[in-house]
Amino acid sequence: MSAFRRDLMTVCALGAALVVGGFVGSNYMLGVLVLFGMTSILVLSYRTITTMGGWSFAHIAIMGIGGYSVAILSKPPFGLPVLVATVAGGLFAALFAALLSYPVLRTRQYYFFLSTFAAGEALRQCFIQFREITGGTSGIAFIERPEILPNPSSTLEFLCLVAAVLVLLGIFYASLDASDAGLKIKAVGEDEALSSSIGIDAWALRALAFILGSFGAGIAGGLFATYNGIVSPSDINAMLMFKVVAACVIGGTTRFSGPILGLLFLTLIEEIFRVVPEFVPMIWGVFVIIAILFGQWARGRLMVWRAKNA
Amino acid sequence: MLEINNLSKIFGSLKAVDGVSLKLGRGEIRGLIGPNGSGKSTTMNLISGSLQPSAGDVSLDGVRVEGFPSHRIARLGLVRTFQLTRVYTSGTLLEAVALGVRAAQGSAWNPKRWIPTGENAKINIAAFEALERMGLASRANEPAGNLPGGLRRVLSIATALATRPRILLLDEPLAGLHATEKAEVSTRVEQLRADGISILLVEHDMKSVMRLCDRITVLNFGRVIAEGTPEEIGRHPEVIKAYLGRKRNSDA
Repeated sequence: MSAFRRDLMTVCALGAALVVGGFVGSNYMLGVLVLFGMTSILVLSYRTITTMGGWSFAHIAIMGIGGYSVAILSKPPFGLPVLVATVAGGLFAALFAALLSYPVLRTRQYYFFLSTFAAGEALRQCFIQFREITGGTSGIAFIERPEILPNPSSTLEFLCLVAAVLVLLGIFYASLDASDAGLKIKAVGEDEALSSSIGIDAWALRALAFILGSFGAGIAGGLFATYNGIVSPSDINAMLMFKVVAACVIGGTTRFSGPILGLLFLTLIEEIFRVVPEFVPMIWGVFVIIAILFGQWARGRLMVWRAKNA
Repeated sequence: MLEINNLSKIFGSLKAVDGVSLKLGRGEIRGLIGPNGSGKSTTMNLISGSLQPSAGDVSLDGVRVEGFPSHRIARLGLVRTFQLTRVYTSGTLLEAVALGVRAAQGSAWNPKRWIPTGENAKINIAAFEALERMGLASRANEPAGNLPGGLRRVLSIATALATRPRILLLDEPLAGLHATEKAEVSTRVEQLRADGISILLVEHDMKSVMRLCDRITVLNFGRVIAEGTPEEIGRHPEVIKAYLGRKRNSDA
């Protein structure tokens, strides 16, 4: 089975699992699933960015653009339908990424994550400082749920919406990954100098991955905002950023199943240690280290095993 | 085809390349030789756009290209390989070379290119042909990461070929190959010339250089100290003094 089909299966299976889980699970479970679905969108869009070879630390701040867009556009004087505002939020996030990519994508490796980190932090400060627009530290409250849901207060219906958005975006990212542009993005991620030397515009493809990945972050941000009913600078927290990165590290980014399984693993730990939430980041950290160390060992064993069986 | 004039590159107080000029005709193999540190690789980097020249110009068919980013120069038909071999190792040889085919076409911003096309027969055929031209066709479906160092160099030439270049800059293509492989790759490079591709060749293996090249340019301390046919270069006193005299007996 081709990698493309496997990725499509992964997102469809995840979407279906969310909906089924929502129908059979408890109320508490429903909330966990909604968060899992929205974070899955973040993680899958983040994976698209990592394929170009850079691990951004601005993803959650860019997600915030989506959240604030929905908060502002769904209220007067704009009064756009929430879903339209969410799509607009995705586009604004992509636009911001496009502007950011000009300076930031000239950096590599730790310079890249430092500059994205700085850009994200600057953006978060903007959300705090421009009080007239963003409501300062208290943010913007009373954001409606999408009107197209028959019963906007039903979490189950919202979960179905999240699952649908997840599947749509998943299909988009899976196609991108298997497309001509996707292959070139991964080529640039593997060896930028070689890619440029044979005629691939490395900067454009890195920017493309960053912009399209940020679009998904904006959409996820919109969903978070409308689900929580409020958006504030505290949504842009290091924990969530770490969770997204950790999911990609633990699961690996080669295929879509990796980050999803990584996120599943982190969520399970979060739920198991729910009574002692202060330990969760530490336990996550331990598992990230284990994943890095054990992952290398496991890849080594796998290569030996494959060589023996070749 | 390729014409460089008075090309210079200054690193701080060091003139790495100092007023190099040369003309490369269609279907010509031009050797670029010189002792270590004489500016051969820097010249390659300047021509291919990996480095910006401090002065001088580079023309491709009359179009000035100095200062262009390397991907644009590659799209104009001038592709280089690297001294420290660079190949895509994540997939098979065919997949690695197919990227060369793809690299020569399409823009990132065209949404049509964001949709998968499935197994693209045209691209695979072109990639397979490029592998065939370098004698790697029988290994097309092997993982590129398993290829030994010398053959990785050959794969890097095949990847460059897949872009259908008119001019190839080969940086030590024979390094790390054993004698029979050297002979085979030399024959294949001659075939590329017969197909009308112009080649600028940096190589330390003097026997192969003498055999392959139509003309040779010799650099020392960033300057051209001699230019001519292999016979002329072999007799040139300054060349013998700077380079061949030391090298001839220790021909590796």
